Amino acid sequence: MGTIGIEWVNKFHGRASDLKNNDDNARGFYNTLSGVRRFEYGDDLAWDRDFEQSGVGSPSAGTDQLYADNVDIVFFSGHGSRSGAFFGIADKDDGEAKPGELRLGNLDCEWVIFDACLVLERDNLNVFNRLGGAFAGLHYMLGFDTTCGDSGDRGRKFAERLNSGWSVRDAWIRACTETEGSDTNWAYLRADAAGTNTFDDHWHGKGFVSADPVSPTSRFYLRGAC
Amino acid sequence: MNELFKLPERLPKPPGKIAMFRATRFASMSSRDATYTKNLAQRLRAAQRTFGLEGTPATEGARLVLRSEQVSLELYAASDSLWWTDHRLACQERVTSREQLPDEGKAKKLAAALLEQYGLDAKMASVASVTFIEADVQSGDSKPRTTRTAVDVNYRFRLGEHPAMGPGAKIKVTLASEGAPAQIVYFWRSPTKAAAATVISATTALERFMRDPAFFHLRNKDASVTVKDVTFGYYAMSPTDFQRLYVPVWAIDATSQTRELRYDFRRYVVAVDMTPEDAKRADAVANPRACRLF
Repeated sequence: MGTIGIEWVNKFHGRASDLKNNDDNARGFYNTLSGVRRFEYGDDLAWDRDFEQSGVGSPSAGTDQLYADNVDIVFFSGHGSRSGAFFGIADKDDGEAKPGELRLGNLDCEWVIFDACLVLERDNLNVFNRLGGAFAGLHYMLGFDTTCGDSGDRGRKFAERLNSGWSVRDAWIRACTETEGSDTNWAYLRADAAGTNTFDDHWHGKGFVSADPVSPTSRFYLRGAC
Repeated sequence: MNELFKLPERLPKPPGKIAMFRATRFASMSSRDATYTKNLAQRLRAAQRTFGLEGTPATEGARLVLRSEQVSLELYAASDSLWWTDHRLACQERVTSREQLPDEGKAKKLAAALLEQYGLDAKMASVASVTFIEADVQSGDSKPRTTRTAVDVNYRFRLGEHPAMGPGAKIKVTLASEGAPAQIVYFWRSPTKAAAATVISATTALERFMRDPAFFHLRNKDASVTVKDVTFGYYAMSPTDFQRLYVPVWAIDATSQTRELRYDFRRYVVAVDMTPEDAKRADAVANPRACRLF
């Protein structure tokens, strides 16, 4: 049985305009997906360092070994940009889980979802340089190539499909298509290594789950219109 | 407060009285409602015949799902929507055939022919864009290789003179190599005209937009919200959701800028003066709580 963590932010204290639905969105995922609910942190308790590798970046206050990399699947809902997931407070690190500070999967995490604008922007193929280093056993990073809406139920729809045995990639693409217009692009980045097949990943207990691509030899980026 | 906002010099004229459109003809979507259940059973049989899938569907939340080894067909219980997919061809990372994808013109023709072949009514829709599913593969640290694995023909609907907006009003026909059908996403609710309603002006909609608490914490000297476009249309919710009326909205496209983050967003302001209580009494949407600005 898999373990689940969520973080969400609606209140940004003037760092950006506030959002409305990220609590509902992330909790819909958390309360629907079959598994062990390991943590939920919202608003001022959601911190960028929870996603960052200890000792990496500047500031180097990462504690992902306690949070994002200590569960099988972690779902973030809030603002984002190609500079990373954006948080409401900046006093725990710098308020942004920057791509260069992410190293996921060296402990536990297989799938991370950034339900936020542009974190997975293709950016003329720079997505590989920007996010490729985050894969240290991580199977997938799922999110958007473009901006996206402030959905209150995408997380629940995604979890329902995972529970029903859809593959992780199909579940995400379908949850996005059901909640966005066709101007929005879903996207994912995944890794493979010798002996792994993350393409066919399912949620734990619902189908095939690949071994971890600890030292990735290939990375795959896919995007399409919702 | 107003120093924060930069508004367009010209705003669209309000359409005045507009037709409202019902999005369902059923009083209830309960499994005890004979009219509704009969209609759903008919839709299911028709879809099974059209797409050649047999068997008893699984119920997954608000969807009935039929699967064969490589193909799935989903029927949405709360709307007139369906989603057919050949999983061997849709959203792939590699192209198995040496044949090329159809070009834009051919893709449009093939998509129109497919919709006609499958009896999916697209009279109120037109092609809005032709896009590609793009796969980029990087081996080691080498330069990534890009492959277009499918082409999407994206349709948008109109209700009368105005666009239907939101996730629940679109068609996507996905074509793989040689123009092989890979996927049909048909999200729609067949409309019927209801009583007319008076639309608030774009100026009033913008005033409501500017009073949104989402902007209360933005400090003027550091921040700006630039409204780029204001468009009137009808909002269609996700195909999984109950919706009795298409919601008339002003869609406001804007850019929010602070020292830390710049981002583009769209906000919808409901364009008829209907309180959440009115919306509840009219049974307009499943959750009228957000029915002012969303």
